[in-house]
Amino acid sequence: MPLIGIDLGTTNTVVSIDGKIQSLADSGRATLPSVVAFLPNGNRTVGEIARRRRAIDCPNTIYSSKRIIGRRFDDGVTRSFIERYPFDLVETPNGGVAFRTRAGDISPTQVASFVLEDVIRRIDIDPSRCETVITIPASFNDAQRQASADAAAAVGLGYPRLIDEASAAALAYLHSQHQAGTRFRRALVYDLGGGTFDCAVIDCSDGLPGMLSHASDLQLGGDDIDHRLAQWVAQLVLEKYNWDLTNYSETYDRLVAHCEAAKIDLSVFEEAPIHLSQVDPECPVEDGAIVVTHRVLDEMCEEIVRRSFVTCDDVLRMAGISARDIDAVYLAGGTTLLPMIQRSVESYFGRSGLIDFDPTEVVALGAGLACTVA
Amino acid sequence: MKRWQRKGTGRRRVEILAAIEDPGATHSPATKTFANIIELDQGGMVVETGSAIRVGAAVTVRVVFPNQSRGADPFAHLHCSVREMMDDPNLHYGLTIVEIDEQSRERLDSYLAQTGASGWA
Repeated sequence: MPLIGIDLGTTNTVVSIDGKIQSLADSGRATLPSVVAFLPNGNRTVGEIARRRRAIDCPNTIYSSKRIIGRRFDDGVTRSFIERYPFDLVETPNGGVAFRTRAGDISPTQVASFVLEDVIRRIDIDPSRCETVITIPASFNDAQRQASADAAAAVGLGYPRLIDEASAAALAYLHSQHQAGTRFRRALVYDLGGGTFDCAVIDCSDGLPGMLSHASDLQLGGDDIDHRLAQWVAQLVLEKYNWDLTNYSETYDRLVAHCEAAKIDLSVFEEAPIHLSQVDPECPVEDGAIVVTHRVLDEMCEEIVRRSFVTCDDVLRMAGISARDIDAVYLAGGTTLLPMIQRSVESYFGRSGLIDFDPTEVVALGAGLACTVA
Repeated sequence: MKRWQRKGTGRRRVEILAAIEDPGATHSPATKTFANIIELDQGGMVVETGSAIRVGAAVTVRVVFPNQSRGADPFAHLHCSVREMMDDPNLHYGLTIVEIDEQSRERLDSYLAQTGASGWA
């Protein structure tokens, strides 16, 4: 029976089968954007094509829905989601929340099930004949856990085991270190994904991760960096060219998407241009592009990093230890690829974060390993 | 999904925001829709559209190519025929350029040279 580990992320979904990361995108990439688009012809598409449709049909292209999965409409988190994202959200008869799309009202649980359904199609498995573990943030409440499990059940995965993302990441690292003969006493998982931050102190002494303490910030992730960067660009364009990129939610959403792309580019390159013609073709900017540098991105990240360390402080306090008592820092989540994040982690803990795996894949790898652990 | 056959080394895939206008359309399909140009060449392109467009329609693709925002009118205007549906479920259409003014041709050629795209078969 295949062992399936699924990291159903806010931004991307990653899957392992029997310990191997699967290619989910047509391009061969392991990450499938957790984006669902409802097309005018009645079809639904998931992944990269859906991600691109965000630029041309954003009210019907749903992303980051994990931020409000299992939430009520009157929840403060839902209210701030409504303010920030370009969707038409409505209250369901039972007080929940749904996206109003041309395909009808779609709940975040349904969005998750559509992503999982697409994953199953892409990896070509019989969902009833596999053992599945799905990861969730450690701080998900009962309603959020139930909604995640319901999404899996809706696509025939039954009610799979849910484990927290930090434990999954720790499991992958410990497995690898065990094979390499390396031993740590205490490790800390620093998992900064697209929409959530998970942090956990792990007792590694017996080879399996024993969680000593954990905490999550469910409203902290790479998304927040994208929005800060978008605000910076919009302000710059307003001041220099008297042109407001925030007037239309669709235009602003395109700006956020381009800022995300620039942020990812800055994991590798020295600078990244944001072509304003691709955000708002009417934008009368003579020099065409706003160039984002590491210095700018670092400024945008500062508060996010600070907030993540507040959570780290809490986790260390709960475990009764200090940052210097940590033997290893395991990095997970795509946002930890940013050089500024890695430098800040090193400065806070007095040691470099380990990045033995692609941080976008490590949680799914660990989820797969969790299938073998009782 | 169909793929256009190409001569030479192959056309670079792109991702460029454009507006497509179909003056002959009534309300449905739409007269104007945003689109992503996802493949581009001197003779045409593949687009994915926000709304459905009519196969056989004469449309205008209005686009500012990246790095070409200078000047009073940075737009290239590409008059195209909607040749075929390339990928029905995802609203991908093949468009053939049937008319293009000199300035727009220069803009297109310049962009293609920059991205290394080649000619149509």
